[in-house]
Amino acid sequence: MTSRSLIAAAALTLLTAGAPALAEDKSFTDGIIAYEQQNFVEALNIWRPLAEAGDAKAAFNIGVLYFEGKGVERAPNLALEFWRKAAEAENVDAQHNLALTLIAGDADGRNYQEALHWLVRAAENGSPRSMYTLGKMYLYGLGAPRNYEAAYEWIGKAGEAGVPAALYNIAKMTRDGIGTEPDAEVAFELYRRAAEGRHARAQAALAIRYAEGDGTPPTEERALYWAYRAYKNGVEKASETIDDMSEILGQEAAKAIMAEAEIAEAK
Amino acid sequence: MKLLRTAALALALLAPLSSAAAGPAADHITAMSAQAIAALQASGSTLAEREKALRPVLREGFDMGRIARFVAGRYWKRATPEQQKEYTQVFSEYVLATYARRLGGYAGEDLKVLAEKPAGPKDLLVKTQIVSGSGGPAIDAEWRVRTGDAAGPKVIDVLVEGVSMAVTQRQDFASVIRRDGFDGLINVLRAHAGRQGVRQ
Repeated sequence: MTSRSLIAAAALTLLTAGAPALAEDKSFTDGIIAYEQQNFVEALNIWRPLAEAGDAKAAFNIGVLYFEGKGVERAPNLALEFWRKAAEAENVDAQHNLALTLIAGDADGRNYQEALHWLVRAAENGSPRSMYTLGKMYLYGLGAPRNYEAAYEWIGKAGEAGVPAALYNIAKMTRDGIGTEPDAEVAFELYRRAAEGRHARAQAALAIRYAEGDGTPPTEERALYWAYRAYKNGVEKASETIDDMSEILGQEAAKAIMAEAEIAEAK
Repeated sequence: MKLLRTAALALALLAPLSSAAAGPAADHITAMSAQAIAALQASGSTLAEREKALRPVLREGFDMGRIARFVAGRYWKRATPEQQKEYTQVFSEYVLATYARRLGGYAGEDLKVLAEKPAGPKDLLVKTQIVSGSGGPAIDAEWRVRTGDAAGPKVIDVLVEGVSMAVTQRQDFASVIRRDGFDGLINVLRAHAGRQGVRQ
């Protein structure tokens, strides 16, 4: 919800405050307004009849309230029930959360086979994060036999759908030839895209590629630029590349490049 | 994972606080509490955004790298450098997501900072009590803080009712690693951190 719609929601609440309404008269959005005001019990009371009438989104949100213990005693098992109901109705968020809870094992215990089933459905329904997790399940051989080609396919799809961590992983798999033919230039391009997506370890890996000319002509300026951004994002080891490149380029040139990197990170 | 205990700690961080103790470690816990309250009370944003704003407070207040290594136990050295990097990152995400998600929804508990005492040669233990706003039983929580590092004081463990979170997690993690390997643990931690919150 944008801040403008929040203000609108607040105004709406003020206008309707004097008019008592029965819970069943209230809409899904009324539940959101209550939730944002941290009236979790009210949100739950609004969404419950909607969920019972088959509203999968309301059922999904009730699952979250139970899982996080908002307005109710925390009850992961009940969360799982609500998510399962919404997942059966093809609610993709519920399919995703149900799968991840079955992997995390913090409700009814771990069940990788069932998790895989829901990940496939959520991935086919277009959830990028489910695609990524599904790829990892195939990569590690959890819930299904290890399958590098399937892992490459799904992690690749997640990357294309905009998950930077997936781009970084698919870059590593392309570098090492896991589930695909090794290709340094394709790997470089994937690292570059993950780095642009602010993935810290991809930024560090990209810096090293520029420094060593791996999959790209060696370019000290770009090596320093990406090493600095990686360092700013918590990759301490990137300081080595920063020092090496600064020595080659000279302090003045290095300073200008780091200033450029600083601006890019602040955006 | 002992999520109930985590929830209790999350409550503690949110609380309006009263401090009867002073010292570098007690001050650190007091400051973290104050920052958490400030983050949650920020106006003009959604609840999800405010919960997200807690993450830097926790990331700065805890020594995530050290906790991650300790919790991995003897499996740390057997992991490849790539696994170590990925694990450290997802562990941090796991802790941040677990705490931040719970912190967002609560109010009314009071964190009393009671005392600070030495714990071993390098650490201080900050004794606190979480008093429920709704009259439930008080919970004892102790925060193990390392103060000697250049980065300043950092929480390295929390004990709830005398039980160490880090030791408990180490046992839980070991059982996952024995069954599904180190990659399996990474996968489980990523699952913990990756769930979707309430949808508009």
